[in-house]
Amino acid sequence: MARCAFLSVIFFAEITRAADGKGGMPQLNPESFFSQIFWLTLLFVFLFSVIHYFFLPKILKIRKERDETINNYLNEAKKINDSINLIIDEMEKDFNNAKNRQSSELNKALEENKIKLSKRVAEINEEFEEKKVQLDIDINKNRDSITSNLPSICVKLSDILYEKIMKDKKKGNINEFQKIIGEK
Amino acid sequence: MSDKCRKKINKKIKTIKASQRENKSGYSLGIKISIDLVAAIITGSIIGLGLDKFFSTKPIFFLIFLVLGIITGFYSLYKSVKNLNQM
Amino acid sequence: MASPLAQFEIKKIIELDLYGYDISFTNSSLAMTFTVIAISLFLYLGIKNLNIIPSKSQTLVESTFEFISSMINDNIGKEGMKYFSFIFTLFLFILIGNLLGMLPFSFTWTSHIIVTFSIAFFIFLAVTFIAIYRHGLLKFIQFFAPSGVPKPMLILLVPIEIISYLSRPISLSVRLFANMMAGHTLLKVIGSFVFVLGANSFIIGGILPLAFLIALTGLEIVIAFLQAYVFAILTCLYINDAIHLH
Repeated sequence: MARCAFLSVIFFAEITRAADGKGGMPQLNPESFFSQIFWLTLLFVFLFSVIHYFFLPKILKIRKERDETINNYLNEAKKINDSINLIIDEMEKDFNNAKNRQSSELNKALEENKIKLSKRVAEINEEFEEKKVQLDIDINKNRDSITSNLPSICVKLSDILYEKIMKDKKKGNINEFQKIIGEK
Repeated sequence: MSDKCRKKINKKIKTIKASQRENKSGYSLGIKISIDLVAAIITGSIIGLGLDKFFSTKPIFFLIFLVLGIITGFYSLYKSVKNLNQM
Repeated sequence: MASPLAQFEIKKIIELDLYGYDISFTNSSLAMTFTVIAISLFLYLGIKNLNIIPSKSQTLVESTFEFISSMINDNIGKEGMKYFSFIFTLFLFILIGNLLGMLPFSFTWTSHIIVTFSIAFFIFLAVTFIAIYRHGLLKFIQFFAPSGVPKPMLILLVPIEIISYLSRPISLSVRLFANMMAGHTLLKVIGSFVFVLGANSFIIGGILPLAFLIALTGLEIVIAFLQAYVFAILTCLYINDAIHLH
């Protein structure tokens, strides 16, 4: 570095010294050609090797690393996204299952209840019919018994009436009564 | 959804790059053709002078190659302009 | 007042001699050394603390890297990555050389035709060698005879193509050299206008040329970038021609 500073001081001293205009372009003066080409080659080769063997591999490495990191993150994000999608799918599936089950259960229960209801209605109807028949039978029976008992009751009644009116006891006969009525 | 986003971004990048490339090509071409004409003429005359020195036929080759150099210059100009029109 | 061309004069700083050849360390060599040091410093600062999340200086270095790599990708393709180091070095060398030349009292070594021509001629030789190495001598010669052209036209077209090919190093080197030299000469001339006019008219006369000088300095910095870019991109195009002969 000290050498560089020294050289630069000389450089500026040299360049600021007023140059005598020789006329013509200094670029076309062949005296300096060889030294220019020599230093150009030397410095360019030096710079090239420094860049090629020192700087660029490092830059390439870090870029590769960055690409890898980004890809890793992307893959991870994709994986997470996939798993999220999977979970969402599962949830939807579960939800749909639950819905289906609910409606099917509902239907089942409805059907069951319908059957039960109809059964019960039929049972009740049957019972009702039975009772009606029983009632009919009872009524007929009662009627029959009433009609059959009617003459004897009438005889008894007339006996009682007779006793009350005639103050006499007389035992009526049903058969006679029936003869009177004219039946049989 | 992420694929859709990525596709969109890629498309945008492509369009931007394409527009940039167009600009670059036109600009660099403009700079390129300005010197090509001169360089061809210089090359032609240098070749002519060299051949003259070799065969010691002083002005003949120089003249021939000067003319060839001028033609080359305009030819390369023509080619560049043709390329420009294609884009 | 010194001639505007005096700034390009080569001055020996240390006289050196190699078997009779003059290899003196000149102001041009010193400027080149500074360029190399500046580039090394720039890159060293960039990679000093390499991180996956880059620092400011690392971003700068990496964007340069990105710039060159996209240039190669656009102009050559995947095969061009072999020449990445060379183009990267070349671009930085010329760019920093141009920019350091803009500093006051410094020297612009890119304004010397012999330097630019040496680089361009080396590129020319290398490109020719690559073309012959990859495709063989015969195909390389066929490169000068475009297909689909009638035979009588070839008599005219082949010399034209050859001259056009040979003019590549000249156009490449003259472009950089002429731009840099013209720019610096103009700066010098305008600078002396500022001085002379300002001294003769109590500073007032110098204001206009000074404004022009400032604008021109900005332009020169842009040109420094542009010329380095053009040099690098033309190198890419030539390598592309060598790789895909057509």
